Amino acid sequence: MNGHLPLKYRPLSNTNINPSIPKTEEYYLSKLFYLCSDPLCIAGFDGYFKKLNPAFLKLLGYSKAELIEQPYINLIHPDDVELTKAEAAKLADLSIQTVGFVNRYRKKDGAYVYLQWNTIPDREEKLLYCSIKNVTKELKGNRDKEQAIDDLNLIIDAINAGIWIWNIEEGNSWWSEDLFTMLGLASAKHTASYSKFLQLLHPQDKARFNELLEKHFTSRSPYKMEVRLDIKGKGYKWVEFSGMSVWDEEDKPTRMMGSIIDIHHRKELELTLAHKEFILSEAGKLAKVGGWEVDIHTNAVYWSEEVYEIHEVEPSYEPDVESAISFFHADSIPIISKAVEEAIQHGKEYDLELKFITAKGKQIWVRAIGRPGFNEKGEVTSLRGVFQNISGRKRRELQNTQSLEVISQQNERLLSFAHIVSHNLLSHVSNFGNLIHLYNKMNEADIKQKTFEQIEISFLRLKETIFFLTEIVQIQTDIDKKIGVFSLQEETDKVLDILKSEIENHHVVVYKDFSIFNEVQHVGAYLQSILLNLISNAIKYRHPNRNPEIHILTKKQGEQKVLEITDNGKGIDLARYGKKLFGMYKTFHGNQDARGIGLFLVKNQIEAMGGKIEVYSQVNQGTTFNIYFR
Amino acid sequence: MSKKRIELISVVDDDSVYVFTMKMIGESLNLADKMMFFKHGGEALEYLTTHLPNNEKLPDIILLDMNMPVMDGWEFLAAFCKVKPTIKKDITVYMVSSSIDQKDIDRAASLSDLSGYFIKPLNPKNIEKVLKGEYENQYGVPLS
Repeated sequence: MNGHLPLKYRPLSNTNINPSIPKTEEYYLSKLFYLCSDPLCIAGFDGYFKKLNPAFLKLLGYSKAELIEQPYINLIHPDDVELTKAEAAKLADLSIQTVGFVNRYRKKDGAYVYLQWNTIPDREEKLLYCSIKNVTKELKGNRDKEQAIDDLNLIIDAINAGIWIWNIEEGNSWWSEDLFTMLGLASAKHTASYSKFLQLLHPQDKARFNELLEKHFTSRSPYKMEVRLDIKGKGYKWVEFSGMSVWDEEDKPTRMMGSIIDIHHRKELELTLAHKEFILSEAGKLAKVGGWEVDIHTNAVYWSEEVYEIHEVEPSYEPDVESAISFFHADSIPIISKAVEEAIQHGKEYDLELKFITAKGKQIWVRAIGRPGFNEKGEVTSLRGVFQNISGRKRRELQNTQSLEVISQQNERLLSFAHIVSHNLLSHVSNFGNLIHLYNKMNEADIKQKTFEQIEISFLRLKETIFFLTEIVQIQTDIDKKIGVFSLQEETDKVLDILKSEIENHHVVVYKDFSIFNEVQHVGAYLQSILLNLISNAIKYRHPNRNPEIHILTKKQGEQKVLEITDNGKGIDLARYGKKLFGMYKTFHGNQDARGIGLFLVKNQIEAMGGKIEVYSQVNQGTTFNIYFR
Repeated sequence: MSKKRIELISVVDDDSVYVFTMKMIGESLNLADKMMFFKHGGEALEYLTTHLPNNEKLPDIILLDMNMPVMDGWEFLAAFCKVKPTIKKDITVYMVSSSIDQKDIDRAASLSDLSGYFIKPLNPKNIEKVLKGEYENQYGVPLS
């Protein structure tokens, strides 16, 4: 109730009380109507409000005109229109008063309020006298609860889950219809119970389940586990079982409720996937193969476990395209960059074998396969591929190639050696045969004497031939025994000392430079033989018109050590003799002291140590020999 | 061919012992009116080119070694081939070598200027047969 004091201060101009009205009883009644804090109104049977008190206006938020100028039915919640019309009709026809009728009105702000009407009809005046109570708070709360229950039931029906409630205190259970269906049981024939659930639980899952429940009762947090249940007619199927208990004031769990979700399909996929992933990763590990993918727009890079292993980086390493490329060997970077670019721009696949440096600095060989992934517009959106460490295979390949080379070289040498042996021995044998024949046939003493001299010559030559053949065979067998590190400077000086008299006789000038490198690994005797043969050849085949000059120097071609011996001698027509230069018993100048064995020996001695020899020459200008050491 | 008297045989070989035996055998068997010896292809070619117009100075038969210094048998054949059209005399060239390398034998067979390839040793009996064009054994590869 409003007290007297506030009355005085009410701004009466808004209350539509005509101040000229004499202060009769009506005056006070109308004042009561206007000042009453409860909403009051008078409505006509015609469906329009006639009189409204300020409390009602305030409740709905409209102006008086807005309420009076339209049928009140317009403001009623559509669901309540019929009900309200019926109620109004009842009032008009039967003249009985309404107590506690509730409907919803739309306020000016659009929200609905629940209004409880106590109405008295006046058939004579065709008016309804109403007092109104806003019961929104009370009703809405109930409605929400009802709604929530409805929603919950809907959810229980709609989700692919069985819901259960276990009343721990009383021992009974409730299962949702879906749960019965899920378990393959007819709800009409079976009763829900905890013990039935335990019967269905897979024996292997029971211990785990009990453990979980115990933990739940102490931790009091919701639990969830994947178990197998015996589904009628289908055998054990995987379900996700989750639940939560409610505790009373005495800390006793009274009820437990939760859900059971069919996850069999997912679980099967998971298990297959896990199995496949295991096999894949194991296979990947064995084959050193990994997979990768790059999203071109986001630059996000995915590597499989093995790719990390090949890179020798931690699993926490975050790869991107640039850093992935930077792992490649400097020689390989342009190749892989170009391949990736072409894959992205032209959708071209690539399959490369490249040199690669791991994070730990190990140089390996990798096979990098990349394939572009396209979107529906045919644009390249991703690159995915395979990454494999092929060092083992590559090493074997290189080894095989090398062994093959060595073997073919050896075969070649062996064959040429066989020919040399047969050729040389055969010519001596044929000479001997003919000489002996002549010796026997001829009667003249001087011819016999001459023939015998020839036999002696033949014998000496045969001896020499066999000596050289032995020497060549020796090259192949000596290698392992006498390898050492030798100073080229010292070995050269030794050889020059041996050739001292020839150098002096022919005024030979020798220039030496061993500044680039001086030491080589070799068999000492071979090194001396090589130097002796090449230097003495340079003197032997000197140019008749000038003083011989010999330059002996060391140099490097990349990592390889090279010894260069250059003379200004007669030179040699390589177009004519090049192929035969290093053959046995090849002499080209018709020199008396040429035996045609030196360069053959030199080549063998160099190749036996894994090196090679090259020759450059111009007739009348000079000759250069390059000896490559391994 | 067998009935015709051989006037001149040229032996091109750097092996002095072989040359000695050929000389002795040639004399004892009276194989030809005359025999000439050259140490390598270069010497033989020089002789041929300087005596081109003189048929009587040119050999009927050349016994050519394969491996020689300065100019070997193959090189001689190549050079001989070039001057051959200007020679009026029919000269038969046999290669005589101790090489049993199949590569050499095949190469010899491919050259039309060679009438045969013989593998040493050539003993007196064989030499006679070669010169008569009758020689044929496991080593001999008569080419025409």
